[in-house]
Amino acid sequence: MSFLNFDSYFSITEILVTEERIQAEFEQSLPNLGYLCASSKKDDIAPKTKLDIPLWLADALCRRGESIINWEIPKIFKDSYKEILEADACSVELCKWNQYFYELGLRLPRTTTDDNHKLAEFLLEVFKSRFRIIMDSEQNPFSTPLLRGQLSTLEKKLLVQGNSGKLQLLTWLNKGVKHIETSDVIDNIRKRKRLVV
Amino acid sequence: MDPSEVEFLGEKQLVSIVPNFSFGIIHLISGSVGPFRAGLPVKVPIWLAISLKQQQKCRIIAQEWMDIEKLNDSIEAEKRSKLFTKMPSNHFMDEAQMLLMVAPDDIPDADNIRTAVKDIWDLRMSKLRSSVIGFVKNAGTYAKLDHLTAMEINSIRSLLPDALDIMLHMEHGGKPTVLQSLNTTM
Amino acid sequence: METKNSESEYSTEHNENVSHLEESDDEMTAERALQALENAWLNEKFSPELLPHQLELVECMLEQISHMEENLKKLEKGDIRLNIHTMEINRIRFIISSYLRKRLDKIEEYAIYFLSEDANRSSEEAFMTPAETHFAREYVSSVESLFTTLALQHMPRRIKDFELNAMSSKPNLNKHVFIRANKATDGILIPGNMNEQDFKEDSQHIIQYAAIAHLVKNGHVQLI
Repeated sequence: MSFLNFDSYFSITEILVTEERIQAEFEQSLPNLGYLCASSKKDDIAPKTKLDIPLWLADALCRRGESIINWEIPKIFKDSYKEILEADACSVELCKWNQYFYELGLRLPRTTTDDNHKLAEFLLEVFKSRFRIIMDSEQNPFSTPLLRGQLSTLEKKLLVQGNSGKLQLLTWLNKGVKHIETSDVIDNIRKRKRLVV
Repeated sequence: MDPSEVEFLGEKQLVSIVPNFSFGIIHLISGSVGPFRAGLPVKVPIWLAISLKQQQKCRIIAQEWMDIEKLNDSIEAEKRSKLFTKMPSNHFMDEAQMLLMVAPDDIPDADNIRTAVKDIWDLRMSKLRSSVIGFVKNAGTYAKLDHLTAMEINSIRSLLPDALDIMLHMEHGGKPTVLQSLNTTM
Repeated sequence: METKNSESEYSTEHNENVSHLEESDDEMTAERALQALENAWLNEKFSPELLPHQLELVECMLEQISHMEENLKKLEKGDIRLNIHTMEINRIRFIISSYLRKRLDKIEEYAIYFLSEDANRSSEEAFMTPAETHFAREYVSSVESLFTTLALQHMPRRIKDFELNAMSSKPNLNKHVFIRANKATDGILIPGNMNEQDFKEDSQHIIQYAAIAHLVKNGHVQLI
């Protein structure tokens, strides 16, 4: 399984991510497409109309030679939000910002390569600093649902996979033998479980 | 890969047994074993040793490194060294698990050996954990894994490679990574 | 490949009773073939792409097994060898089935891509065995008929075609893998930073598959 594989035709993540809406301003008038804009009763979309459109549409409209729309970068990738992440990435409940935080950032329509590259670099930094949370909770394969709320979908998938590996290892270590089992780990898990209950 | 598959590979390691029966050479597909002479030690793969032990046809001799002094030295060395020290076997942990489980009565000082093995394992696992965190922090793409045993490598398989793949993807700015031609190398 | 010869040598050898297998040369060959198959199994398990098939090795081992089973029938009940040989056969069976199953998993996932890759190779150089190729074709056509029956036939004409190429996904060759160097190899280019790295014999590494794919195929490194 590839986690960020957008090339795959059957990638559910790809479909869900490209359903995310971003704000776009139309540069040209679009005849007979007024129905896209719920608040307007006109037949056409007038120039300068602002509309939230799904990423897949924005992407297609940007790919054409002439520019049809100007799109706005989602607020979670703007400086004020970036500063929060830079201050302490681990404490951010990324899932609440957007569950496809990384995928969305990487999938935004191309503007200048430089901008996209800078955003990708930023996402990399965020991922790197938050990887610790995954490592920490991977230690405990019965991690609390509380923590999962803090993670984005990508991080969650990674954690689930890490946990299942850890669980296999613990099962193997505890197989049949009474003395060698990692009793402290198991005890901790029980304690924590009791706390949660 | 499931730890039991790592163990499966570890079962190919040799161990000495003292059979209580006599028999000529047995020609296995994976090589010959024997001849077996009652009371005389002979080396066989662990899977065979376990089977014979379960049928009460042999006594297992502890691996040379299953010695409490040697293991305590290893613990000290592991504590002193920042890097991983060399283990006596690439299947150190699984060999210990299997032999101590099936033949605790044959291995002198089995309980202490178990504890010492577990101490080494814990020390190394926590070292491994910090190296993984450090490696990701530095956005590494390549690392040497000297002296890591099979079970240890397998323990990071579920997390590290995928984390690195994700990071690589981001480093490439989210662009689908360019496929190298598969044909040129054959 | 050496196994071709060993096949015929073995068939004569195993016509004798098990207890008379004494020619050490042949034994080495069977042992080596088994080791080669085990290596192929681990390589296949961990490599993102489909590796060239090892049909000869698989057939050689299957033949070994069936000869062995024939010979076991001649042993008396309670013979100590019965148990031991049966255990070994089961171990080898496990490797073979796990190996073949792993290949089928990959073929299902990337059927279209592998078929198109193999189309550019001669039949001797094809990565898939004839049986695997057959499986891949059947698989693709089953998917196509499923899609057509379920959905495509109800679509407007303009989009009702089954788009083979759009659906074709490729394995991620940049995946990170764990390796051990079988031979000392110098000057491995690390993708990204373009540094060169030398592998000492028996050293272990984590590295992107693409950097060492050719070394997996020529046996200089083993995936672990």
